[in-house]
Amino acid sequence: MADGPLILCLPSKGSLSDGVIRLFEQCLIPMRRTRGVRSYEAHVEGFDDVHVLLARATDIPSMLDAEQAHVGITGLDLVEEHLGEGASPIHVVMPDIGFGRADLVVGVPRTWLDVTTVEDLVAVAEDVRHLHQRSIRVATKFPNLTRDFFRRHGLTDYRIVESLGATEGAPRGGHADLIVDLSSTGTTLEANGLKQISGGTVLRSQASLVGAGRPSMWTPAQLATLGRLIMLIEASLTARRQRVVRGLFPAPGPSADGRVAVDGLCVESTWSDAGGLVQVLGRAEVGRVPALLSALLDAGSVASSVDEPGLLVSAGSRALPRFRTHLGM
Amino acid sequence: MSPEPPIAGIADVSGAEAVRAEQVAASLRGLFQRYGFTPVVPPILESAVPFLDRSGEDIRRHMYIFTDPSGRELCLRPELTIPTVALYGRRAPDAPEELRAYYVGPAFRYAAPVDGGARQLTHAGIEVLGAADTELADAEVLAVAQASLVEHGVRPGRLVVSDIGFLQAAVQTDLLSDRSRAALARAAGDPDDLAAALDLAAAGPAEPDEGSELDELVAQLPDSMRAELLDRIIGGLEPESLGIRTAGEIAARLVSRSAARPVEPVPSSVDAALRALLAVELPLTEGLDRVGALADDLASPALAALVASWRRRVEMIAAYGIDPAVVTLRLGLRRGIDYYTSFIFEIEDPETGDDPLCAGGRYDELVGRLTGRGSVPGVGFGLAVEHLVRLVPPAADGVSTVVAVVVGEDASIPAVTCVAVASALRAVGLACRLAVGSSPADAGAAAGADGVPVLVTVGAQSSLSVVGLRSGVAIESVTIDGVAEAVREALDG
Repeated sequence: MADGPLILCLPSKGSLSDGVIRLFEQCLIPMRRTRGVRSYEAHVEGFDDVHVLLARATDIPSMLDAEQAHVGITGLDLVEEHLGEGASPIHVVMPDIGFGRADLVVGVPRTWLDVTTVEDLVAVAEDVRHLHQRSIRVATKFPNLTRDFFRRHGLTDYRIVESLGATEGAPRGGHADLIVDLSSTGTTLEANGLKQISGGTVLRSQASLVGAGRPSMWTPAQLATLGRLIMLIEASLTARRQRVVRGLFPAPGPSADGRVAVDGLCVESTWSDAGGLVQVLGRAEVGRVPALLSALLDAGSVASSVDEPGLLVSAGSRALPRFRTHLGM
Repeated sequence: MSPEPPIAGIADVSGAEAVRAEQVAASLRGLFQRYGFTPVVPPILESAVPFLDRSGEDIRRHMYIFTDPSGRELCLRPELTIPTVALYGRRAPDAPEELRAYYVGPAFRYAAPVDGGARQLTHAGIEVLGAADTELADAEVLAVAQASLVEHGVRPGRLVVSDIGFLQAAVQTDLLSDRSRAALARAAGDPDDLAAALDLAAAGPAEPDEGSELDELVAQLPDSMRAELLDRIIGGLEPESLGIRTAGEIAARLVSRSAARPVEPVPSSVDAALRALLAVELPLTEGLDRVGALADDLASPALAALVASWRRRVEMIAAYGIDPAVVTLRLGLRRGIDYYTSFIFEIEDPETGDDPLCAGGRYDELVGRLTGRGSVPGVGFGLAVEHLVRLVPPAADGVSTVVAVVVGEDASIPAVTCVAVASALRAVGLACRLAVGSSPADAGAAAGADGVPVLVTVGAQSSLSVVGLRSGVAIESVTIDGVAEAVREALDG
């Protein structure tokens, strides 16, 4: 697969797909589906050396394994479940790209009033074994993550019921006693007579950027293209966390050389106008902005403003270097 | 096709290592037989249920469980005590009450903590079932465990004993409220749990969470109506979503869970005495004196009675030649196995001190629970042969099961002649192997490297030369009829 475009595999539908479309718009590289017969392909504006394949989110980890694509965006839950099979060369490049949040949780019947923690569940599994001579049954689409979680909590006496459709209905339908499933708000659990328990979060999941992990897949040019994509995604994440703040000071400004920060505000540029005003420009984490505005006022600024940026690029990203180390390239 | 990667913790054993393992297993069998034990061979494939029900967390967490094509839950046996007890229960109804059984066979645990994560180990051990004199049987098991190390030239590590009953008896004191007593009794099966329960009580009420608030509410209900009321409330809710459980079970567990939280502080004198008890780690006789004194502090007649019964066990242990001064009484000893009911022990690895080399104990309720035969006392111990073999000092003169190698002088000697010589040796019980096609020099070097003590070289006209590789004895012009005698002579030097 050397020397071709970077092949990027993205979810074709559902909330992950909507999230990707919004992310790419925010990165100013809108994605356009190729019209016509080959509708499972797309193009990213400004990235002529990227070829987009659209696929089901669940299939993306195996497509990376099969070397059908270089990178993909899909849920971390699906990636970790796939890695739980063992022997997969895929590598999580960015575990959190800011959308698609959902937790993989244990859901038990609300009627199990005595079960409020995972330790309770372990004890109940033993009770069920003694009283009913069978294992508790767990419905899930995530058998590997479930096994790993229960093993860590010392729960071994259970059976996994593979669930294909609506997992949360399994206990009511009598197919299982409890479930391990995704929940973003808890309402689906509740509607099915289930509840979460303390310590019962198997995995906190969100959309992640995942790379094919075999060095033979990659050329330096493709890695460079991936680096540009990572830069934009990181810039959009930073832009969500930070605001651009400016303050106007009477000349010569808060200090003679214009390089002094006000309460940690990093000075990015200054200019002076004819009227003798100096502008101090910088960025700050959202939570710090109100305090910073007061500090600017106290330091003698005559006016200040806050802007919501579209993209904020910073040097020093570790995502690509880490991936290069993984590949040994 | 590339070979499948090896399974971690499953080892091939061959060569001298296999010979040593067989020799150690054989001498363990001999030892067990000398104490009057008879072999049992329970199946390797077992129903998973008794192990899941009875064994305890240390074993349950590491079992190989699977469903066979008929849907039955089976497992590879993780240990041999439960299989031996099940076998005891399946014997003919008129079989004698007492069974003194020994076993040597494989057991399987996923990533077992002992023995470098070995997943298949050869367990060897004994079980005394149905013997009425329990202290005598306990001492005997301890003695056989000790002998299984000593007879192989292994210096035993510390011999640590305890009794599950000490802590359970200690909390039966009138110095505690009914509620605290019940809460601590629940934890007293395991020293770590009891320490945690004392800490919990000392820490006072925890940050309220959903669970503790519910426990508090349940605890406030009058005793007589607690379970009944909860049963009715839970039974009224969405019966279709109870899963396998019943409203009654949930109510019962709510009540027991709420009772397990020591909501009131444990009196400081009791707390101090229980913690002192947990810390006991003394030579056996001194240790019993200490426990006896703490029994007075706790005003627990049950504990005092248990200490008295231990005095006789100490006598029996001494009668079996084990000095009580080298036995450590450690009340913090935990085995992680649910079926033990009183006496427990382990002999530590003399080198690492952690993973015990031998472990065992008394399980007076297991037989009844597994077999429905009523109350039958039982006690036993087991060890992993691989663990023991690692510690056995290597034999000075190598290990070989072969006594002689038979080789032709040169290529002109027919193979049939060599076979005839070998047959003559085997007929009188001398183990030998052929080295047809090899030169006497090569065969001698290979024999020496393998630790084979005698080389027989077949010359023209069936004239043999017999050389003792260790004894240096060389006998020439031996006939086939005289070869056995010559080999014995070369062997003895």
